[in-house]
Amino acid sequence: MSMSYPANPPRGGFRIAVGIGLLVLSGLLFVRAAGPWPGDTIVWPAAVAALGALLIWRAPAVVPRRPRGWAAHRSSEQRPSRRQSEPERVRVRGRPEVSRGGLGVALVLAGGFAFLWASGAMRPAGETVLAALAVLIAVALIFAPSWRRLARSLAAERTERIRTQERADVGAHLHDSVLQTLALIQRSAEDPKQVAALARHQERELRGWLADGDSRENGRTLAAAVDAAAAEVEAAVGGSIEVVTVGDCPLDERARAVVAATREAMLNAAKFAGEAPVSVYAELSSERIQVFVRDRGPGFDPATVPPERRGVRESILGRTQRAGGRAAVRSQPGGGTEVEIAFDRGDKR
Amino acid sequence: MTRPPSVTILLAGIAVLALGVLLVLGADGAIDLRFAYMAPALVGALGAILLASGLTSRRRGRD
Repeated sequence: MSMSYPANPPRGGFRIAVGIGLLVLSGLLFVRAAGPWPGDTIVWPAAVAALGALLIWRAPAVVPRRPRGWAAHRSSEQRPSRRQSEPERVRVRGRPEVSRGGLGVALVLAGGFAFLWASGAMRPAGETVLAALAVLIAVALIFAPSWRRLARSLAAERTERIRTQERADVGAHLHDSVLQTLALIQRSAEDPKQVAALARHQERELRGWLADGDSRENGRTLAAAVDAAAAEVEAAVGGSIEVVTVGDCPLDERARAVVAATREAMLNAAKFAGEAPVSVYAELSSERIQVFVRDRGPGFDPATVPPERRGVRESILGRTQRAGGRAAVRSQPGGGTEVEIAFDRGDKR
Repeated sequence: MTRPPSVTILLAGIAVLALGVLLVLGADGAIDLRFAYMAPALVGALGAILLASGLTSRRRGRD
């Protein structure tokens, strides 16, 4: 099973940040020495608070880091599991980004406190504020471990709940699909064709579910529609249709025409190819749609097709052209048949 | 095959040269080289070197 990691943060970021900070500090020091200076009590607390605010704004959520070096070559089993609890993930391969946000908050508070203290605004209530601050720090020190444990247990509980839900979803899907198909296969053990058709149908459905569950299952994409059409043809005519799709795109009106023409091409191929498998290769993107339907059947001479046979002429060629694409049928007696259906984004309806 | 010059090292050399010129001018009495002026120059030079190093590292995709 493939795993996806977000991209690593750009390298050199720390040096760039420190470099920019030092340049700003240099400018401030120069202005302090030579130019109009509002006063240390204003500028330095403001600079500290600005640094804190910058840290808060730039603090991302906890992001697992992409393995580097030898860790990138470990197998997925050796890598930390996605099912680990959140705190474990943070410890194993993540960065405690929350500390950056916490440091930012502390700097902002320190900047504000320093400004108030230096400007004398706190002198009248200095004793009270200091006492309150001391109590606050004491309370934080006393209860911080409890809060931390609570946060960790909440994260672990949430992870466990998600894991249980995922397990239940997978179990339900396996029951509805694979187990039911296996039961049907047991019943149809005397009919190899039926068994093969059931197995192929299940394989296609399982692959689609593994690839992209929801959108393919609901048939909202062209790849899912081509898969469904292949399954229909297999169920109707029999035979074996191998579908390989690269990419995907939404099922709009033009894509529906592609599906209909492809379905017709698959139907013809399944009818006339006999036991030979039919292969469908589709490259699908928002810029270009290209579908090839090939079979190794007896083939035919397209020029000798009678005018009353409308399957290829109307259902494939005509339909594709009316939708703004182009189609071609390449076949020769004894050499199999290939139908190409193509649409470019620049094609006009 | 000749390796391309490192931007970071070039910039560091230029910064050291500039600081040297400032020190010479200060010793000569041509400029008033107090700590209040020298400190920003030093900090700025260090910042520029770090910035160049970080940008070069990001461009080449290496640490």
